[in-house]
Order: sequence, then C-alpha cells, then structure tokens
Amino acid sequence: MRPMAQVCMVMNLDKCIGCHTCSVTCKQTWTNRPGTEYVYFNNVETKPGLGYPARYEDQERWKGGWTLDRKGRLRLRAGSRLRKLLTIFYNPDLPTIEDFHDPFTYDYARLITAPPGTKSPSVSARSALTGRELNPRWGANWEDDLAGAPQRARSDPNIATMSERVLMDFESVFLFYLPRICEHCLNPSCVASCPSGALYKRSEDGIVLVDQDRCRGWRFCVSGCPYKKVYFNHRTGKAEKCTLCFPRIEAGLPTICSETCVGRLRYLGIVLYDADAVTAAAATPDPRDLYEAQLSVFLDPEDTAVQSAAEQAGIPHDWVVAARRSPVYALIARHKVALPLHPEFRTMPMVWYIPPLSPVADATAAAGYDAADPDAVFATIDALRIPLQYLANLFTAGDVAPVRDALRRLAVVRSVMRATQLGLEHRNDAAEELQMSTADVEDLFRLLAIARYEDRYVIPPAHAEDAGRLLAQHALSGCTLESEGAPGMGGKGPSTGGGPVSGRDLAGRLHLRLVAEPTGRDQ
Amino acid sequence: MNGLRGINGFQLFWWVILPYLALATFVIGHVWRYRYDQFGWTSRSTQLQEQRLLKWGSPVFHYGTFAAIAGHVIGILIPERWTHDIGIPENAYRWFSASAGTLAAVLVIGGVAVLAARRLFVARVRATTSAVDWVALILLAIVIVLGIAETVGVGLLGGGYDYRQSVSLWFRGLFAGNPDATAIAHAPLIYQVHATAAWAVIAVWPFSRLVHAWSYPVWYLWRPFVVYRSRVASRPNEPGTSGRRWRRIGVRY
Amino acid sequence: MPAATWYEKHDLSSTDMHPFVHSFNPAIAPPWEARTDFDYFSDLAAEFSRLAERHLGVRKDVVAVPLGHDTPDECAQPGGRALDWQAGEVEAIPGRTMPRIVVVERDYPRLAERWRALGPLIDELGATTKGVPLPIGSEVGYLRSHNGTIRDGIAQGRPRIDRDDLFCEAILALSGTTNGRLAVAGFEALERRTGVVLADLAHERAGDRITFADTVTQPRSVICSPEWSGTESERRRYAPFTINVERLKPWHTLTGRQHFFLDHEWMAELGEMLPIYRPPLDLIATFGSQQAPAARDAQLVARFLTPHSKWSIHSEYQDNLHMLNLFRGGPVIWMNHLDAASIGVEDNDWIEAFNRNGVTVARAAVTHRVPAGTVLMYHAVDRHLQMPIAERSGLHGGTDNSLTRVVMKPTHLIGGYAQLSYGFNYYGPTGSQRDEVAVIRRRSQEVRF
Repeated sequence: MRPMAQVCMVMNLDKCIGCHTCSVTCKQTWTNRPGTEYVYFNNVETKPGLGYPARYEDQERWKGGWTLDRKGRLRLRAGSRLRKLLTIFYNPDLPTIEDFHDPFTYDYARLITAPPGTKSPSVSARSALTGRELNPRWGANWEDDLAGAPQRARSDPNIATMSERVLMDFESVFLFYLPRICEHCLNPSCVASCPSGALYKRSEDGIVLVDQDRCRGWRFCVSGCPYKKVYFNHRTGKAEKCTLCFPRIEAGLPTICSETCVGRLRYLGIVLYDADAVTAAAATPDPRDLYEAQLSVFLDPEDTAVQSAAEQAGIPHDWVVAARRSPVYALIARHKVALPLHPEFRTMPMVWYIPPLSPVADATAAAGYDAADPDAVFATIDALRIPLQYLANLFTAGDVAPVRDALRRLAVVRSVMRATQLGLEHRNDAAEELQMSTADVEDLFRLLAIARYEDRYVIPPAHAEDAGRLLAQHALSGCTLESEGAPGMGGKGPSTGGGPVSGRDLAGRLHLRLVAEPTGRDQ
Repeated sequence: MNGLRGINGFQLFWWVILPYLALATFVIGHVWRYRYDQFGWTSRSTQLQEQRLLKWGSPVFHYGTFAAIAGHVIGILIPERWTHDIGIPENAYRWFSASAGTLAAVLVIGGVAVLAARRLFVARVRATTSAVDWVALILLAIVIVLGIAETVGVGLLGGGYDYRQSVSLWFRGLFAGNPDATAIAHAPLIYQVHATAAWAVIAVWPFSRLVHAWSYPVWYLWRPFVVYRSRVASRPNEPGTSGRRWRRIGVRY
Repeated sequence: MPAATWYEKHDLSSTDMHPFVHSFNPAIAPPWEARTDFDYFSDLAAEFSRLAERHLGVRKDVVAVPLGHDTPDECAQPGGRALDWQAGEVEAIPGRTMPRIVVVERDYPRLAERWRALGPLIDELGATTKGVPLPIGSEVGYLRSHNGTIRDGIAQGRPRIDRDDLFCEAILALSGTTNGRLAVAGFEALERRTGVVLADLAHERAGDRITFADTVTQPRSVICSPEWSGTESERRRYAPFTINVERLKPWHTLTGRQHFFLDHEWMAELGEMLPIYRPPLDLIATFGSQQAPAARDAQLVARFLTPHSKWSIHSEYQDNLHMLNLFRGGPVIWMNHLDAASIGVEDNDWIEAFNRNGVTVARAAVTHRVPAGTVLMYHAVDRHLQMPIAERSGLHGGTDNSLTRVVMKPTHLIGGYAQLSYGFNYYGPTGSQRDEVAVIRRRSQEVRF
C-alpha cells in the first residue's frame, strides 16, 4: 500500500441552476487572453446535449481515455507510443476549434464611430482569431436550456445506448446542468499521452498540470483526455488545462469556480488513496465494476492503520486530519450519494457528482406515487423525469442500481427532514432499508442543504518546509508564467519590489515556489 | 593540401567565414535558447485551426524532409571513397541520388507547398504566424527550391554533377579544421547558392520554431505512462537576477 | 445626456426581497462626456435657477393632488360609487369627489439652493412612509455635523446634500431600515395607532446606524422597519406581510383585514368583485391574425412572451462578450420544434417576429421545452449587436418590447376609494402583463447590418 493524498471535488447537480458564474469567473481568472478565447477550463453543459466539444463523450470517435487490450491490460485508446511518434505530424484524433467553440467578438468601434444620423447602428460577429465576419454555428454553450435539442440532442452519446426511447416532446421534457472541470484523474490518460512528459501529476495533492517550459506542442494530451479538458493555446503553441487553482489550494482556499458558485453546490476535500492499487482498479474487466473498484482504491481516513501509514508515507498530520473531515470522502464513500463521471474511460476521475432528483414524470401513472405526500418520491424513483438509465450512462457505465440508491438517499433526507421541521410523523423504514441512521440523515442534510462554506471546503494548506521558498523570490526570478501569452501570476502583489520575507502576504496567504523535478516515481 | 590557397577575399568570406559564423551562431544560439526560452520552444502546431490541408501537408513534408536529410548525410558526410570501396560505382550512386532524391524532392516540395499556401491563405493559421516564422519559412523555401533544382534539374534531368568531389569535401573540411574553399568555389552556382541558403537557415534555426525538431520525443518509447512530480527544496535565486548567475553580486545568497 | 453607469458613481441599492443595502462606488471615472445623474441634476438646477431669475421668478402653481393611499382621503367616497362631477352627477368637492386642489408656491430662482440642502419641513413633519410617521430628530443634527452645513442663502444652516455621497448619507440617516432609532420610533408610533405590540421587532438593532462608509466596506443587513410589511432578522429572512399576519397589525385595507371582495362600481361592471379566473386577452379576436397578406402558410401566429432571462432581470448587462460567447451571440427567439417545422425553421435560422406594434429579427432557438403555440423572447437584449435590418421595415429590428404594448386595465385606474386610492410608486396604474400575439416567419438567411 502506498498512501497518497489528493484534493477532490464533488458537485451536487441537484442544486446547479446553470447560471454559468463558474465559467465566467474561471475565464476571467485564467483564460481571458489571446490564444485561450475558446478555452473554458470550467464549462457547464445542458444535458441531454452534445456537450463541449461536440460529442466528446463518444470515445469510438475521439479515442480518448483508456481501454483494455486482448490480454486485459490497459492501453491508451488512441494507440501505442509508437503510433503517436509516427503520427506526431498530424494527430488524427484532434478536435478542431469549431468542435469546441469558434470564438467571436464584435467590431465595437463601428458603433462608436458610426456617422451622425445612422439609425441605431448594429454590428455583426467577428472571429476573435482572424477579425473576419463570422456566422456562429456552434459554441461552448450552444445548447443551453435545450436550444436545438430536438435536432441534435438525440446524438448525445448517453442517449444512444439507452434501450428506452427518450421522448423529445414538451410533456416529457427534462434537463439538468452538468458543470465540468478537469477530473485530475488518478490514472490520467492526458499525462500518459504526452510524448515529451510535460504533463505531470503532483505527488502532494494530485493536481495534474502542464509544464509550460517542457511542453513542445505535440497536442496528444488534447486527444488523450476523454473529457477533453486539456486545451491547446493557439498563440503560445502549448497545452493548458484546469489547474485546480493550485495557488489558492496551496493556501487553503477553494478554487475560483467553487468560491463563486452561486448554487453553493461544490465541495472540496482530501481523499487518501492507495497509489499501488490504481492500475489494477482501472483495469477491472467489466466497466460496471469500475465504480466499486475506484471506491476500493480510496482509503478510510478513520482507520488508524491508514492514518499511520499515511503519516509514514510523508503525508502531514494536518492533512490526515483534513481527510477525516473531508466532505468529499463523506459524500463519496460514507453516504455514497456521489458518483464518478464516465468511469468507463478508466482514468479514475476525481471530480464526482451527486445526481439530480427530478419531478415525477407522470403522476397518474407512476407506481408508488402518493398523491397525499408528493414529496415522498422514494418509491417512485424509477419514474422521475430524468431517466435513471440516462444518469447511469453518465455516472456508472450504465449500472442503474447505484444511481437509484443515491437518489433514494437524497429523497429520504428530504422527507425525513421535512417531517422533522414540520413536526410530522414519519416512518423510518425507507432510511433503514438504505442503512441510513438518523445521524447519517442529519449529516447529509447539513452538508447538502445548509451547505456552509466551512463545511464544503476543507482544504489543508500546503506545507512549505519541504518545498522551497517564497513567492517574493519566485516572482522576481523571472517566472515563465509571466511572459507574453502566458497565464500570468495575477498582477502586482506585495511580492514585487521586495516583499515580506516571511512567506505570507498581507492577507495571510502562504506562497510557495513550485520547483518541480521529475522524481521518477512513476506508475 | 591547403584549401585556402589562391582564393580571394570574397571566396574566403562566403566559404569559410560565413559558415563558421553560422555554426557559431547555431551553437551559441541553441545554448541561449534552451536556457532562457523554454517557454517559446514548441512546435507551434496549428492543427487546431486548420486540419484538412495539414493532414497531408505535414506528414508528407516532414517525412520528405527526413528522406532529404538522409540523402544529405549519405551524399555529404559519407566520403566517396567509402561507397566506392563497398562496390558502388559513381554512376550507380548518381542515379540513386537522383531518383531517391527526386522522390524526396517531390514529397518535400509537395508538402511545403501545401503548408506554405496554408499558412499564407488560411486566415486562422496566418493569424498565429510570427515574424520569425515567416523568415524561417522563406529561407526554408529557398533552400528547398534550390535543392530541388539541383537534384531534379541537374541530377535527374541534367547531366548530373559529382558534388561529392567538391561540395562534400568543402563541407567536411570545415569540421576537420581544414576548410577547402577552392573545392566549392568551382562548383556550379546553384550548388553555391543552395549551400549559402543552408547556412542562413542554420544561423536562424535556434531563434525560430525550427528548434522543435530537436524535441522529437523518442524517449516516449520507454517512458512509464504516468509522470509524478514532487516539490523539492531549492535554493532561491538572488532577487533581481532572474536566476542568471552571472548577474549575482558578491557573496552567494 | 450621456449618463454614467453603475460603476462610475456613488449610489445606493436595496430591494425588499434581499435584506441588504449596497453602495455603488466608482471603479472608474465616467468616460468621455458622460456624467453622473446627480451631477446633471445639480448642474441643470443651477442653470435653471439662474435663468429663472429673469424669466420666471416666484410663481404660484395649482396642483391636483390625488386622494392618497394611507390617508383619511380613502374614506372620502363611501360605497365605491364613482360619481363624475364633470357630468354633473355630484357636486365637485376637492378632496372628496375630486382631487385636492392645492396651491403650491414655486420659488424657481431658489430651486438650486433648495436642491442642495435638507429642508426645514422635515424637522416638523418628519418622514412618512405608507402613512407611518418617522419622527426625525437627532438625525438632522447628525447630518449637519457629518455633511456640513450651507453657509448662505435660504438654506443657511441646513445640512448639505449637494454631493451624491452626502445625499446617500442623508437617505441612510432618514430611513428606519438603516437607522435603528428611527425603526423603533416608527414602530412605537404604529403601536399607538394600531394597539398591537411591534417595537420589539427592532429593539435588537435599536442602536445600529448604517452609514455610507459602512456600505462601502461591505453590503449591510437592513434593520426591521415599519417601512416594510415583513420582519427581517438574521434568524428569519424577509417575507412580505408577516407583521400583519403574526403581530395582527391591520392590513392597509378598508376592513383592516385581507379581504377579497371589492365593491367598487367598476369592479362590479367587469364582474371582478371576487377573485375570478380571466383568460389572457384574445388578441387575435381583437386585432386579427396580423399575418402579412402573402404566404400565410409560412407564418406562425403564436403567443409572444417576454420572460426574464436566467441571467438578468431588466438590465442589459448580460450582453457582455463572455455571456454572448456562452450562447448564440445575439438576440434569440425560442420556439417549439413542431411550430418551427411548420414554417420551415431550423435551429439558429434567422427569423422575423412582427405584429401591429413592431418588428424584431432574431435567431431561432428551436426546442421542445417551449409549448407549441408560444414563443419566448427574453427581456432586454442589446440591439446593437447582431441585430440585422428587418425585411419588413427596412430598419434595424427592435427589441422584445417592440412587439408589446402597455395595455392598461380600466380597474387599475380606480382611485379615491379605500385601499384602491393612489399612492406614489405604490398603488396606481401599473404596466399590465405584456401578453401579446406575434407572427413569426423564416426570413432570408442573408442578413445586412
């Protein structure tokens, strides 16, 4: 056993309202510069829909992620190392910018300089890349709220494998939003796909990053990721991706998308996992067993054997404490309401989702529907508007049972807490059937409904003592992130012109210099 | 034999000084570039912006170029005596050079034509082209066209020219510390211009995107799939030096 | 006049439904020739006063003041009979059968001086909201010392409010929602009037004062105050009318209770004395299908709704580059896929929507989440971006509201009777719901801007 720690996220889809605040704030922070106009490290998709880029979930087409060879060993779906070297001049699996989003702007100057007497001038869209007129035909959020769905959504890969017909009419309409960031996988296929070794996973917190100095622009990471969360900066010629806002995470702060989430639906916390078990788990033959396999890779932080193994492995004590308090571990492993996104890609994703409840589709026909207590959807989980099979295709490689259980747990929390707050009688048999104690129900309620900031984000700050020194030196030593086209370090802070020597800025944030060397500790 | 005897200043410049300057620039330029511009060291792929033309243009151009380079290695670096000793007469060599060379030439010119046209006429690709990209492209185009004129025009369709007696000797002589300017001074003009254009490419190389050629990642074949990195303790740089140790003042910080 | 926008001036913002008061603060100076509204008003007042010296002087004005909500005027016309003095049905009695006739002295040359200062009437009359008197006392002295006083002229010695931030300071000082003492005093006055216990609602924050500087630091929670009808505290957020329901404060109605029966003549004439279901106006019956004469089969007649988008209420600030890239980049009309198919429209096609009121051009968002027979165009989209010239008019298309028109309901004009009496920004003719009918057709996909 080799315990390691990772910062993971859970998103509660029951609460996502599709406001896209997360997308905009992330963009303003990280991808608000030439070369990244089309890039959304965080994007929100309307489901059912094709997503961004279009149909990215169809790995038969895009060849992302891993698959098993005839001998049951993991191999990259896009092909062998040799194939990559031979196709390095043209990557046959790369999406075009139109598959993502052809970014546009407007000739605003024409509005201001229109001659007097012009009747209410209006301008058309122009390409942000070339300045020429552009007629938008697809974008990062083209299908918002099911726009164009009757035409396109049938090609949603999650629908294609459903045996029941998904009706696209007004009476049976359903939708939910799926916010996505990089999964910071345990078995990242993007890292595996990079021929130059520029992508790496950080040992301390599992964040996957692109080394901007080492990237040589071979662009196999883009096609290698089945979630298509690595992007190519067309100005700098290098790959970029969600960084999990590591400067904030290192300081114990949540990511920008989490901080600004209006729906308060995001959770960040530590999960301890057994690094030695990852490959075997990812190679589990039946895709429907991958969910349980990944759960088995996670280590129980309450287990004292795990705690001591973790500390011996160099995980700091406060990190182990944080793992015990982790809301993410609680939602994933204790309460089992959170599920992985497309585990069949075999990358062992580390951003999980709580599936959304939805209204009962046809109250008169739904078996188990109780007209006297319409909130009690426990018995009618299979008859909710959002088809269970659709959610299962998204989260459990098609296995409906875990989705059903997760939804039933959410339903139990609702009906028990409602009864408690209104002083009504309620029966516990539903909770008992799911092996939920009163404490479990209350814990889930507090986490999901009250959802306090301090409960949702339990992020232990990184440890500086074994890492190096201070942002002051780092910024002055010619950080490559500051050069033209690069992500930037975010403006002038107290570190320029000789800042405080203590390593903390005026806001008390800890700054670390990341000096990363390949350790050779590979899988 | 002194290859510098009886040459004038003009010849000295073009065939001795310029090559050495170019080589020095090449070496020092690469050292500088590797140390100080890792961020700019990339293939600058434009596949995201345009795929259809790239699909054939790029592999054809690159493989064609490899073939052409292989041809240069054989023709310039391997002395004629060695091929003769293993039983390949000059005539056979010439026809091999002409035909294989023509094949490589077709691939290279086909590829570079597609790529150059793409870069020139596809707005999205043009928009991400920097000035030095144009310089490199133009120099490359010149070298390629001249090289093809040699191989196809002279070698295949013309009477042939035994460049191994002149150009190759001069080239090897530069590295042997015994430059033979007279050898190339009497070669046909087209070979001279091609060689000079090649030096221009070599001089510009370290400052252009061409450096991506050195990054062909053969080591990927034996690298484990997943790479981890840990933070390591490091000595911080002295403030204001940007890590450049020659800027350090006095006692070690 | 080009006006400064939100982040270019000082101002205050609050609503009933969210329990905070915010300040606006200038992040940048107003660009080019734009100025803040406050500056414009000040400058206009000064220039006007200067000109008025010669052209107007002091004038007397006769003003018809409506019979007011929350005043004894409500009982002026018992029985809900709206007799018309102009038709001789009743004697014309100001304040009873007709508006009050009030002579107002307008000292036009002194307008600017009055604009700059908090006037003396507030010391005697206090501030009144919804009929509840807030006794202004120490606040005037506070504003004198905080804001400074006017040196000369008719407002000498009065607190200055001649700058936007000083004006905001005055607003905050004179409202119970931001001045705990006033909230308590207002509730005490209400207690005397109504006989129910109320002042404890504000006791917790009786000593609190929210200043403008406080709001600049961060938005501040408002204080429970008689200006609103609901209680507000950290433990329990605002919901309207909770004071009436739980503390039995009388409702502002004729009976003091919620009542559903309105016995006004005009309500009887429309058959609405009790709440009743009324279907949407049958605009097709009234105005016809409004289709253009040719190619009727290619024109869809549908209900035209203009909802709030999920990203804005009424402002246009959803149309920044980020948000535009996150959808279709310009105006959109949502329609049902069956309706779209019936007129040959595919998703993202250019369509024109028109009726007797106007025309707009937009992209079609074809979806099954909109019922057939209805189209949606979300409010307030910037018509300078991606708004082509309309085929129908030869001009740039309008906005969602180009197709709607305010249709006033006659019963909204009832005044002078019980709770239906007029109150400024409170009760009176309102813009009615803009249910409309529009015609949608697929236009040429070649567009000109």
